[in-house]
Amino acid sequence: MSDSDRVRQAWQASVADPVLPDLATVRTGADRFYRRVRRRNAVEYAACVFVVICFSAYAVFLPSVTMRIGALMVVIGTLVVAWQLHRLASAARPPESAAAEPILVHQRAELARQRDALAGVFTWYLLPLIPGLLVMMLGPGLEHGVVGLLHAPRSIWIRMIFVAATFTGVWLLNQRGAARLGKQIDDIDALTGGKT
Amino acid sequence: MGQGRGNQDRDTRYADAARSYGAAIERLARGYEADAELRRDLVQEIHAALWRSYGYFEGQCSERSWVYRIAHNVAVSHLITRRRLKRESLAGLDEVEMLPDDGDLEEEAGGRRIVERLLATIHRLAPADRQVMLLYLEDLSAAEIADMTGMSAGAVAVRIHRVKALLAKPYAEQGDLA
Repeated sequence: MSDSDRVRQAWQASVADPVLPDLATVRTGADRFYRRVRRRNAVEYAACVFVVICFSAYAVFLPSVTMRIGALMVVIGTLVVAWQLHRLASAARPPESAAAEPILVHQRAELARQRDALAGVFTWYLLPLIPGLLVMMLGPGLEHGVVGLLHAPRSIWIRMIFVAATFTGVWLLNQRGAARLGKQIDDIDALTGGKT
Repeated sequence: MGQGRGNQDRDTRYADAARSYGAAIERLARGYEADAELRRDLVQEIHAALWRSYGYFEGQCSERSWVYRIAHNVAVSHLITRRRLKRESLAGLDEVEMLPDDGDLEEEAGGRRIVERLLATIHRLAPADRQVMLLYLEDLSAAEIADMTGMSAGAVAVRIHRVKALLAKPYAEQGDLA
């Protein structure tokens, strides 16, 4: 018997009598994936509802008309983000759906789904909110034309720089994550000869 | 009525598979997850996916392939999620070494020591190499591993060669010491 055969034998003998979950537990667990997706969706939708309520209030109560329009645009942008979240969540596949797929094909599909979500974060998450936020922040200055905008208080520009830096940071972090996943996908493609 | 019979049939087929492959599923889960509590969750998740899959398994491939694919696919998704959270760095078969050990590999009852060392090595492997290692340990042939993973035959052959060398190393080191 070769050394690797001896290790294989020891490995296979290491769990000879497994404790199997009972059928009721298995059946309950079978819904876990769907429950997890529903729970995650509920949290994300609740966050969207919170933003919609706040900015709807701004759209009604803010003194400046331009700022009210901006708040309304943020509400619309948030609804677009919620729709995109729903679309991305529906792309998640239940675990058993990949039964007929080779393991690396499944792994690649999982990684590609996550990479695409991260790489496209500007389009589906940041962009829908930018116009409304811009109009809200520049609103008071815009009401007095281009000259008013040029003479807008420094605090507005500081706020704009802060928001731009935050958005850029979110975008950069996501791009880095997407690049890391892309590297893992490339590794799989090298292993499968690009058949996936 | 038809739905009830379908569920009963699914229950029976799942129970048969769980009895036949339960130990292999448990071993596979040990290879993917070191934490005992998370491993228990992973095993349950694999069984749940297996039970659901019997709703549409009609002999598309051998039952063994079916069960192993489901188990590995669930485990791979688990690993991807865990890696995103933990950011652990993993290595290839050409980079890892079996952890050093000063005990007698043969004397240890049931080869527990060698299995512990093996698991410590497996947990440091990148997913693709881990799949090959785990399937090889379950006695699958190179062709079966290639079919199951989707890896090219050449890539599987190279990895099996490395796995064999890795597994033989502790014995070779012990021989040198003796």
